[in-house]
Amino acid sequence: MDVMRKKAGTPVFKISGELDHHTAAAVREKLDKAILLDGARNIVLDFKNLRFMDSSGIGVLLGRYKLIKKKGGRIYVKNVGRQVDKIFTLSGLYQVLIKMD
Amino acid sequence: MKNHMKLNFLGISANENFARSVAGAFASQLDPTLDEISDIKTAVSEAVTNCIIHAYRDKTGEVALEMELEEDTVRVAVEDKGVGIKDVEQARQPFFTTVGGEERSGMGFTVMETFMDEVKVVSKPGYGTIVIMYKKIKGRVGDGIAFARADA
Repeated sequence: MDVMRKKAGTPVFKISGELDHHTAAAVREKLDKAILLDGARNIVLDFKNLRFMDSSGIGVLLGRYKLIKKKGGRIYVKNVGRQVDKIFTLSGLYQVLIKMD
Repeated sequence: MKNHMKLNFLGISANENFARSVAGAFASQLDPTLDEISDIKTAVSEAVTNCIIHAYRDKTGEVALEMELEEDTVRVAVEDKGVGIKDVEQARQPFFTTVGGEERSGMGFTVMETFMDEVKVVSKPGYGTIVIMYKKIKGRVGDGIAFARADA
């Protein structure tokens, strides 16, 4: 699991690997650090290199949304695969996340 | 095709990935699409995670993953000898969780129900829980991606 930042504009954090209960704490920690260090209001999460996510990802995303919301920002998501899209839809996460593609 | 497997492993989070990978590999004997494999892996991941977080909340115990392939149907059973579920109907409700502060969503059973055709939960407090799931494999006929992968 890596969170990589791309330069320029709204920061894009690339989430890779597998996001489950086992990796959730590490992903949460890395994302929070990146969000705080970056200081940007809005962020983009790119799921292109995410190989797997289960419902543990819902908590991670919702927690990050709360953090960003405090700064008045939004979370944009891109390259959401079919599986993750289904999980975002059934959990109602699309009420707070903005899909880019 | 008729086949069967049973696997026992320690209920620690490192084995979530192991369990779903095994489930995906075993089910692939029915020539499922990549999406169908992902569905099974996701459901198994949810069931095994429930054992680790809920069934064995204060200790570490054994989890059993049992799978049966019969014709075009996969049957998956995930069993623990943990604390059990007092109210199964309540546990299956979307967003219901007994764990606070850990960013748990309470969507585990809802995800299993969404990705599988049928989910049965049998539980006895103090004895454990068994989650049995079924999925009919429609297969990769006409699925270009799966064919390309098989030819590679």
